[in-house]
Amino acid sequence: MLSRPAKRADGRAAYLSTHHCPDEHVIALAGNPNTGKSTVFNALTGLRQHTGNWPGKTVDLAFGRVDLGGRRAVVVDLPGAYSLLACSEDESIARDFLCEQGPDAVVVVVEAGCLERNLSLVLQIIELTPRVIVCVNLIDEANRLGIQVDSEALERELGVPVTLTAASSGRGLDQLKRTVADLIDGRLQPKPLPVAYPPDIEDASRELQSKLPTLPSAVSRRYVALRMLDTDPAIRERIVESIYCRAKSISDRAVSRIPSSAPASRVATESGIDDVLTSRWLGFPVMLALLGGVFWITLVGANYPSALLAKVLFHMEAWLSAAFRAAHAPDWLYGAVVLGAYRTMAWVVSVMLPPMAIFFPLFTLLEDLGYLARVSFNMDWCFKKCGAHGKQSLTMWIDSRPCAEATVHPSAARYCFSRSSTYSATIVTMGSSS
Amino acid sequence: MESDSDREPKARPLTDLPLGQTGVIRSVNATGMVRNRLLDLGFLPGTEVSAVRRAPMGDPTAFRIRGAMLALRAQDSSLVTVTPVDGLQMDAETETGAKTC
Repeated sequence: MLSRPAKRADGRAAYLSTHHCPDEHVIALAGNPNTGKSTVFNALTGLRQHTGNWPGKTVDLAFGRVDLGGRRAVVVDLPGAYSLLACSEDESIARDFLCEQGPDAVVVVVEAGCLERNLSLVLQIIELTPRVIVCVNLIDEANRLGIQVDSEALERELGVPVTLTAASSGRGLDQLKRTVADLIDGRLQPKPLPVAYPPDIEDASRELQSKLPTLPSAVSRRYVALRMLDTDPAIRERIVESIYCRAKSISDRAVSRIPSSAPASRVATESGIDDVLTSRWLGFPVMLALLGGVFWITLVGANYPSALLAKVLFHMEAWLSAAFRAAHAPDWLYGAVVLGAYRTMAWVVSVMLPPMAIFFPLFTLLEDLGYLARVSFNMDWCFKKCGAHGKQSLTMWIDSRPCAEATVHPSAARYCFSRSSTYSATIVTMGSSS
Repeated sequence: MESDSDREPKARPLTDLPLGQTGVIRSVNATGMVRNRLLDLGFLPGTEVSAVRRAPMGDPTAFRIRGAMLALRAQDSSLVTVTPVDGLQMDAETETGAKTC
């Protein structure tokens, strides 16, 4: 980030030139993994999303447009990150985007039921930019578990606007859009309260800041100074500790828990299911059965719509042929259009469309249920043996399908983590609970 | 904190924490990327961590820490030391944890 800081205007023009008008506002969506960030993204942008390359980077970011009361803005979905201190590639991407692109607003999606952990990322982002909105998502789920989030207390503690949402049911999204519009128009000017580090670190940071050269306007001097300081492991530990300490004190003030009897049984049920899914004896058989079942449904189930599609499309080929003959079209034209283009299209559509239309919804269902994280957990040992990690089992699973083109699907590509396997700590989130 | 070190026998690798048991992290002895990663995920001295379940082949193990469930391989969890907390000491430890956070 520091070696190659793109100027805000340049970077933005470069990013937008391929997809957008330069005067469109850019909203970045950040958050921990498993906070329902994608659901918020989908709810904001509808089904009009695209994947675009970020010039100079080898990553694709999902983006879409949102209507903010008559004005359109671009929403960029950043990869899920626990921290901006950037260890994994996903986290560097999120950090670099925030630093280099200087988005007009950053919506940080946090999980209501797991606020303390999620606040650590929020605290790091408000160090970078004041233009932050915290979206406390999955609020319905948290309320069911007896967890109440006081958004006003949270706003007071963080100094940035907070909205409570349940993106899957649409709750709070209008409020979120209004807040984003207010922030972009300058009607709302957040005054974030960043973490206060121990005095010696703050002093060192101030001294360092005064010696820094001119930085691009989107990059906070304090942030740069702190990142230079935390290359020292001892300082880094104290910085991370201060962040978590502050996150805990904020969460203590903003979150209240009402003990109730109903959720306990639910937690117990979920834990019981996990015991089976990851158990020594049943883990692998259940996994093989489930994944095998998905394969079977995809392969066998696709035959019927495939046959039907082929029948319809080839029937139409006969009509086309008749039409070409009736028009006395030359052979080369008939060959190119009907036997070449149309027949290829008909084969591709009838063979590939049905399996994809069956496989991806099933795959997404397993992902949403959290089963894919359990697969990674179960399979990690086998992958460790060949120097890989469990997340790659999903890449393999997708790649081994008869239609290898499937890997172009965004939800599949999200599992192609092989590039970021440089760190050996295999860390798989199995969903959070409180 | 002082009373902790008097009372607790000694810190053991997180790998040895039996399933269902809770411990308080004493140190993170990893270096480089792994250390940073563990710190970022909240593996900080004074934090409570519980061993929840183990993968079918015995590794990795899922730990509950700061409200989330995270899986660590033995090679990484062996670099974190914890002092186990039993039922009676739990409340006292939680209090200490809150103070040092």
